[in-house]
Parts: sequence; C-alpha cells; structure tokens
Amino acid sequence: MSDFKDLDPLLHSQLRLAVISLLVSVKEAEFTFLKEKTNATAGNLSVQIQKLKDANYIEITKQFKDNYPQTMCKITKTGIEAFEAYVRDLRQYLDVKK
Amino acid sequence: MDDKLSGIESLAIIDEMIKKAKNHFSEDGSLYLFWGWLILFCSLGHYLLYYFDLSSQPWGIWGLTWLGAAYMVIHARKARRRKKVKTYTEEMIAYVWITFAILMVVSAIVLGRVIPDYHRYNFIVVLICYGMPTFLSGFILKFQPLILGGLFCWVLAFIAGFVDFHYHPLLTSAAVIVAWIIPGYILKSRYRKQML
Repeated sequence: MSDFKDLDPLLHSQLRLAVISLLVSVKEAEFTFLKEKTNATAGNLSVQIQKLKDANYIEITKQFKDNYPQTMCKITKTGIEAFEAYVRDLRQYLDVKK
Repeated sequence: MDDKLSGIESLAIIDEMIKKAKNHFSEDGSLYLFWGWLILFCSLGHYLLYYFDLSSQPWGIWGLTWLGAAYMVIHARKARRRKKVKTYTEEMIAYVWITFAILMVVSAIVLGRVIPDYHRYNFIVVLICYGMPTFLSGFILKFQPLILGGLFCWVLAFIAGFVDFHYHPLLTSAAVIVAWIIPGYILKSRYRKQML
C-alpha cells in the first residue's frame, strides 16, 4: 500500500470516491440519489459526505420539499480539482505498475 | 475495505459511478407529448374550422396554447420538486426551450407588426422555430428521433414556401407528429424501462 501514500486519502475510500464520481457527473444530487446509486446505508453515507463537506470538496444544502427535509449535494471547485488530481495520480501509479 | 482499495478498484468505482450518473435517464417525454398533442389539436382544428367554414377566425383555436404554457409552468415547478438529481444536460435543454419560447413570442409580435399579411407566412416561421429546439435537444441527448424530427420541421418549412398558406396547419400537424409525438412516446417507453 505504500504506492498509494501520495493519493488523496480523503478520496481513496470506496464510498467517498463513489460519491465524488457521481457528483462530478451531475450538477447537483439529492442524498437519496447518492444512496440509491452507491447502495450505501444512510448512516454511513451521512458520515462520509460530512467528511467531504469538511474538506470543502462538496456543498450540502438542507431544505424542505413538500414538508419533508431534503439534502442536496454539489461538488465544489476544490472538489473537482481534488478529483482531477486523484485521477492523475492514480494514472501515474498504474503506468508505473505496467 | 477502504484500506484494501487497489488502483484498478479505484478506477472501476469511478467508471461505474460515472456510467450510473450518465445512464440516469430523467427525460420521460411528457412535455414532448403534451405539446405535441396540443399543437396537433390546434393545427388540425385550425384547418378543419377553415375547411368547413365553421369560423371566420379559425386561428382563434391557438389561444389554447396560452393555457398550455400556464399548465407547463405548473408542471415544470412540480417536476423540479420531484427531481433527485439535476444534470448539466437538463439545464442546457431547458435553456434551449426557453430560447425557443422567447423566439416564438418575439417573432409573432414583431413580424406580425412589420410584415403585411403575416398570417400567410406565420407557419413557415413557426416550422423553422420548431426545428431548432427539437434538433438541438436531440443532439444534446444523443437521441436520433429528435434530431430527425428537427430536420423534418425544416424540410416542411421549405415545402411550406411552395404550398398555399391555407394548408400550412396540416404541415404543422405532420411536423409535431414526427418531431414531438413519436419521439415523446419513445422517450416515455425508455423512461419506463429504466424504472423497472
């Protein structure tokens, strides 16, 4: 695992990477959409998106929709840059392995 | 589990999630069907009112499109509330149709004022305008029936230049069947399959 020491540890996690990959492809997504696509539990997903929010990789907006709370997630510029850097580093790592 | 994530697995996750987001098909065809049937009703009604001499103002039937526009605003607001995800594609398509709506209203008002007997040419302009959002939406969605529908509108606009203006509503009927109603049903069926 030493090869991965330079990879962003925040993104080098199955669920967080899945969330960022989804958010990089859309403008914004509801929490339930992320849950449905990643097959994660609500509790685990909440914890992971909070970590991404703390790193300013995503923005979370909580609002009410038809009297039900709705959580919208959107990737930030920092998040896009981090994702691009992660993919670049990953590609470099895989090239080295070839 | 996270600690064991390999490079290949990371790439697989990225690939899978991007594909999932891309394959999330939110276009259910409802607006194409709504406008398709409404315009078909108005254009056929216009022609029949003229043909059987049932009204001195057969174009009055087009007033229904204002009701349609009001319904669409309510529908769009409801649909926006129901949406779990907003994509860049949807946003682009929404702006294409907003541009179309502005073009339609401005051209009807301005050209109606400056061109004498504009009612003789109105449907030609309408057919040219119909082609634009249909073609662009098809291109953005990579959906061939809409691309062909847009091209069909422009072919009919060209033909309309050689046909008596009384028959233009019939050309408009043909345009909306090919450009909106048929693609609308195909989109609806694709959307339903995704939901299964």
